[in-house]
Amino acid sequence: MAISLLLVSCLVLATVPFFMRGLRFIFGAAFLASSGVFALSLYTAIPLFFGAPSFENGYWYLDTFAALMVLLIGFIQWTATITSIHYLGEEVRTGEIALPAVRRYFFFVGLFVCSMLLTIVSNNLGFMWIALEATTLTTTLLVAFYAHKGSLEAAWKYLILCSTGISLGLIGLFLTYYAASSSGLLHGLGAISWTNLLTVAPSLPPHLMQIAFVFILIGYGTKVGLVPMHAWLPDAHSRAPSPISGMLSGILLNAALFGILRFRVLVDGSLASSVWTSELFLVFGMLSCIIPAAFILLQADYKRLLAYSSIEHMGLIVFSAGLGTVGAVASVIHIVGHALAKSALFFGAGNILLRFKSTKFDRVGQVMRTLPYTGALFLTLILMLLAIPPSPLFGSELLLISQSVVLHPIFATIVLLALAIIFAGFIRLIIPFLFSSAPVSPKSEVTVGEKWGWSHTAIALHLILLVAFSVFLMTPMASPILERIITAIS
Amino acid sequence: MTPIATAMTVFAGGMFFLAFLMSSRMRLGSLVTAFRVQSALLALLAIAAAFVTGEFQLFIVAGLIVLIKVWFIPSFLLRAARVSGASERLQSYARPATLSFVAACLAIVALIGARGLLPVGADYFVLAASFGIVLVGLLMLVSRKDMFGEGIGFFVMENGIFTFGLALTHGMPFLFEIGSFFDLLAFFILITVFTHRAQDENASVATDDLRTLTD
Repeated sequence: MAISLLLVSCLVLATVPFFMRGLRFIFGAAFLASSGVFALSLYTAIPLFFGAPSFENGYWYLDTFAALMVLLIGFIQWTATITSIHYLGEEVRTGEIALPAVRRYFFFVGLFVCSMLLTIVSNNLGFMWIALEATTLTTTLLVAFYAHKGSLEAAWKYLILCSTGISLGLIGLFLTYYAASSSGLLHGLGAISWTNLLTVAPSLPPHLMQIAFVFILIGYGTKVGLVPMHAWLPDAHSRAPSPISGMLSGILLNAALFGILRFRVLVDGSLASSVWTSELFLVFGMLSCIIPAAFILLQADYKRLLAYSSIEHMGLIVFSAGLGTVGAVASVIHIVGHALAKSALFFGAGNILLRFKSTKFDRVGQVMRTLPYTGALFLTLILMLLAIPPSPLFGSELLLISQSVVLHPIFATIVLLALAIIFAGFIRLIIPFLFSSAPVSPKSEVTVGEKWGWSHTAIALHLILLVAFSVFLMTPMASPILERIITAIS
Repeated sequence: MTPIATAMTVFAGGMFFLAFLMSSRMRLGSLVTAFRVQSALLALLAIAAAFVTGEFQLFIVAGLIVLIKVWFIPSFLLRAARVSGASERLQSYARPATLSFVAACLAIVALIGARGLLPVGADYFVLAASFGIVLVGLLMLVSRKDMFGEGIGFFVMENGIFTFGLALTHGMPFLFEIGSFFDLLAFFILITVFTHRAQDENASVATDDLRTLTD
């Protein structure tokens, strides 16, 4: 019931603002509907962290890991809506966009959130596939939201690459269905039900499941942004409106990864070992750390910098997932830490873009003086993203490095080197960006100063949650909850 | 081999042959016609699978294929091209002869891949044909320099995946089929929206004009 209500509330978010007449009413309806989605996600997810049993029926399945994802989606869509109200309000005021565009924006945001939640709560791998493809279809027009140069290119690349990837994932789904139905284990819709497959996983033919997983990893991995299937990600994240970039980076990538992790449990069950899938995770994870390092070092665009950093962090999460139980703990902590930090950074980048009208480093400077609140929050979040304590990413990276040094020392060295390069790249670019007195573009007339607004409150909430999450990890309450989450994905 | 199994092999073979021809076609009209016929063969394949399994819902799936892939997508694709004033002549990175040669090589890869990968009960030639169609669809996606060519390449690949699904499973659960058709329709609508916008912005649907975002 709660899950159905949650999905309906997303449809309310999509439709009610669409039929409102004035800007204030559109924003009011969007805020109320989005708050409703957040409240329902809390109501649905929180009990599972405190011992409530997993919920399952023919259509929905919610375990602790899915509950964590629901919570992340619920919270980040809420803060993204708050930021969007500020962001779109400014753009309507300056004449950049008109009222119908605002209606369209919230319509697609609602459908996007709904499809992400469907991906997570579906008990059927077929419906999960449909919902994951729907996340691409609902966000493509958001990537192409502006009539700016490059928006169409980014959206086209996003649509073609992600849809091709997800379609290849369908081959993996066919193979899984065949593996379950041909051996007489399951039939019909039940043959792609996740809970059914879980019970028969040890009897599934390992050879077929391995081939299926390769297609799933390549297909869904395209959506996660794993190297070498990542080409769409920097373009889409940099061209979309900043609150959308925050949602794409913070929760959509994780929703796709969720699909891979679900399949992995089946393949591991079929092989009676996690060695094979772990090796694939280690290779793809390591590649996804190395390649962005080079692009981050020489980056000229701050939104693309954040996008490449997302590829790197998804790589770290996948790499951790290949390091056994300790690695799984690191990957769960990293999923939460990265989602909170990166989405807030994109919200901050939106404030900077509104003021400077450019995403290029050479056209932006003195952010700390021009936008003191945004600048301070942005700097703190960058430090959090770079795993400076008390960031939860410090804990996850420490865990993953210490575990990989023991299990795979060469891989550990390569990842450490990539992390060092990325750290240097960020510091080299962000410090002048925030503090330099270099003149910005001569044509621009940038006003100095800002008032604390709702977008700052949203970003600050992310920051507070990041610190609170670190503190929570040090309490005795953390280990049973983490244990429940890890059990759900191993 | 039963007559239905023979028919399925002939339909899948015909679909691959059409994909092979499409890989080097440079006119929108002939590409769309070939796609129409290929989709009709896919519908016949679904009907054949319905006779094999006795599943009535596969007849509905065949009907949906005719409705969406034989009629709706080709007709509206041509209409979108006409309305936006896009050129009938399509572009490619390679010459037609080169593309035909690569497509032939992909057919060999598909034949080897189908033999090595799957120790399953499905007909070998139907599986090989489906692999071939997927690979030629991917070839069209990477070799074409315009939105229509890339879009049709995607649909060809999707036909190949559907053929693979029919050969392997004789049809997925009906609800899933309906959902995937819905996604396909939404994808098609987005393709037409973008071709229209590209024509408005760049007076062309060439993807060469979409190469500004680089690092």
